[in-house]
Amino acid sequence: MAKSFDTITFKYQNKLIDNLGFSITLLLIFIVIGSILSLLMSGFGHSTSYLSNKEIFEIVKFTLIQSTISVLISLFLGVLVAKILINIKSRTLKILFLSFSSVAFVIPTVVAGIGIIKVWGGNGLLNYIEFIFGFGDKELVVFGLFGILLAHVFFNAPLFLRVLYSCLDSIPDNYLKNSMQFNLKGFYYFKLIEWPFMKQIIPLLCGIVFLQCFTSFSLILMLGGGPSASTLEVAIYTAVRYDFDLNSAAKLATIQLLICLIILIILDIFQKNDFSNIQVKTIANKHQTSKRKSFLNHSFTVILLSIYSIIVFSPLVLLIIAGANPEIISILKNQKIINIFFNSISIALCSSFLSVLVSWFICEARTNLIIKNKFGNNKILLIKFYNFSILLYLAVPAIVMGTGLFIILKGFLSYSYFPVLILIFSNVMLCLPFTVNIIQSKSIFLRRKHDRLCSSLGINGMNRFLKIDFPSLKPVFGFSLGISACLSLGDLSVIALFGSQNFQTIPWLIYQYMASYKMSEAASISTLLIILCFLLFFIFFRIVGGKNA
Amino acid sequence: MKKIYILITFLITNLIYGEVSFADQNKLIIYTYDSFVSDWGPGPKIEEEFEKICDCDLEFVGIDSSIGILGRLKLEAEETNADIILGLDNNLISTAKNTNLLVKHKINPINLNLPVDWNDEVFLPFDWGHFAFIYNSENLVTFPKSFDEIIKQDNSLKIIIQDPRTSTPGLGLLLWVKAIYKDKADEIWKKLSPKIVTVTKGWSEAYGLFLEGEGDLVLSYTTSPAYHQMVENEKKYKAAIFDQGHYLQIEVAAVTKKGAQSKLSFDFLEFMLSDQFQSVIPTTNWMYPATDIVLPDTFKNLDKPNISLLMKPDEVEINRKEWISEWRRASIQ
Repeated sequence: MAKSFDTITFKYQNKLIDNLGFSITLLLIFIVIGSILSLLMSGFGHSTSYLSNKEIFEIVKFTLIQSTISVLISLFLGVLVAKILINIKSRTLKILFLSFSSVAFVIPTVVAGIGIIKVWGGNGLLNYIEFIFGFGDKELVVFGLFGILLAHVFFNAPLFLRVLYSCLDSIPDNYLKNSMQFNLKGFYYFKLIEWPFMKQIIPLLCGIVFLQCFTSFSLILMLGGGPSASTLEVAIYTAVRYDFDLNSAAKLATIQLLICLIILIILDIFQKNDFSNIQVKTIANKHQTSKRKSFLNHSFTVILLSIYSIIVFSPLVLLIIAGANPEIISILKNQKIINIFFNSISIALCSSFLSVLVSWFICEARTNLIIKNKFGNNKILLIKFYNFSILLYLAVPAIVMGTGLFIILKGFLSYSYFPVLILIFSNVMLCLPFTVNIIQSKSIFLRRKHDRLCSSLGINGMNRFLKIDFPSLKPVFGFSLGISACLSLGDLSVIALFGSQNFQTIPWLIYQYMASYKMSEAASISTLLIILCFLLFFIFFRIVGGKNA
Repeated sequence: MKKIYILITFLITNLIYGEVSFADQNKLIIYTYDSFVSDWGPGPKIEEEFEKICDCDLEFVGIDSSIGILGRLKLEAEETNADIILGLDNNLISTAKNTNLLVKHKINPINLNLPVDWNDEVFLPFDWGHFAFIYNSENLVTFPKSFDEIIKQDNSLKIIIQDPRTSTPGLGLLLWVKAIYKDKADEIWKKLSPKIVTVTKGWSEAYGLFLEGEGDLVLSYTTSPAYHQMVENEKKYKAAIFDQGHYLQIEVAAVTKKGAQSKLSFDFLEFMLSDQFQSVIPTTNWMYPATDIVLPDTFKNLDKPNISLLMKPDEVEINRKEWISEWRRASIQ
């Protein structure tokens, strides 16, 4: 039996997509390594470096501590809120909750920092409430490790929530029914039913978040409270910008890359590439049973939701309120700003379609490997290669990437093409870790579900994709499109270096306003950006994803 | 599916086509920092004024920071598109000259009005300002008149500064302290550090935090109150003037080797010191103009430091790394 299934699988796997996925991954790796190499070989460098080995060690130690704590808190909050959310009955409420959570990805770091200060700062909401109720005169000091953690949880808890929610949502009905019959509750329900689904995705997700905390930069300076809160990224930025010492920047970037790789390898030990317990879910579970809850359970829910709302939602709400000032009308009337919005939306749409397409190729190639692997072809290393390569970009500092790409491309292209192409490229790279992982598990489901059927009916190639697979892929595609459009809207990283007068994006506009005292205009545009992001996410989620998304 | 393809093709062509600009004989390309070219910055007005008299097409390319302009020039080297780089500050002059990509301006600026003498052969100044701590006079009753007075105050005084590793004002403050206290600068930093609540990456973050009420003092320019007075009609923000003097920032421009091939570039440098250019500066870039023009009333009434401090670009270039390490060590302890 196994033998015959084996041959069928081989016959109907798509060699073309396999190769495409592989070559794209290879290309991405070449570009990442090439950009670091090009800095090394550019010939700009001095012999002295800012940092002694001891200082590097200290920075890495601090970074490891803050990243680990950030990951753990975000994970904890994400898991618990996802568990609460899955039990909420109203679909609209769920989608609103999730869409609003996803907005946090998109905000430029400075704006996010200000939002967090509006809640936690000396003149912030919490201190104000404290003042009204007359709780002591102890002022909450946000600057320091606490501020950094707040910021990282603000960005990453929604990510965990979003992905883990889809995970829980994919638990098949019969599992739920069985759990009812056995009267599984509380911890055992979590351990036996939910955890097996979550643990597929948690190590990788932790990896993504870890990399983001590890390479975070301007927020750490802004909320860190002094030079003792630092990351390698600061040193790399200084080396490129102030010293133009590309050589040592490349060396530091390599150190950072290696540390990140080690962490990913450690996390990978917990990652099982065995998807055998994933089953195909055929019916959407509309009859999610409402469990009767105790008073303790209820108060727990309320407390968790309030913590989540204070950390994630309240900065967003306060930002929106601050931006709803009279400036917003003059901004909406300004044709030039409308054009910039159009530019940004076009870029975001292009990048999100491209990243979903590329991720689908990579996913298919990876799925083929995983399925083959079940039948004895030992290709573990190749699977790992896919796992790591899509995360690689997150570990490379934007300024190194941007400068490297500039050096590589300057011989081939006219400068005027640079911003658009590089922006789209960097957006795609940024989105891949998210989109690939979202599409991956679905892609494996579909192979399991449709392979035999299609082989017996003789449907293959494009036909199979359009008629059989695509309809089931729509929800994950919609979700991936939404996330990547939001990520692309907010991304500024590499473009800063290539600027030109004719081409601008929304985050850039916000920075420009802030750089010339115009904080209220910046606040208004941030509000518009938040609303736009919310709409994009909602639309993709609902329309592309379909009603059952 | 087809519709999506058409949409993507349309979007990409739209984006790329919008970017194509045709090479022009009479084109002048100037690299500058991005807030200079923003709608409300000096760029658009200056472009309009210069194009009236030059019969040419002036194009500004806005790069993320003044230091970024120099980085871009170094990367492009001999093949650069830039005819002029505009917006470096005095601390970068020496580094910029070492690239050997810039030429002498051969202009004798007669009407300059800077707190110091100017006799650089490559760079010409277009505006200047003094670094200063800004405070909200409604919250802070006793404002400090020197670094010593800041140190003497209670540790509840909250100061926000920028990181000298990543921002120009941050470096300015470092040099300011160094210029006054010389070898004792690290002691001053040690005493200042309990009051410094945070050290941000750039000016915008620090000033944004200050406006949110997170700090009593923020490092900015003596001209910052002028913005609040003229645009927001808000008089509560003031600059603390120190008896010990204030460090100076002078923003400069120079012609590149590529620009030297055309007379247009030198015409622009001359235009830069004309009244048409200079009169735009105060209310768009919020700095003092480099020449002796009539200032807006608000600028006339601003508090001015009596002593201007400035170090030689070479001295800054040689010692910068060491001084930054010194600052870092002193601040961490």
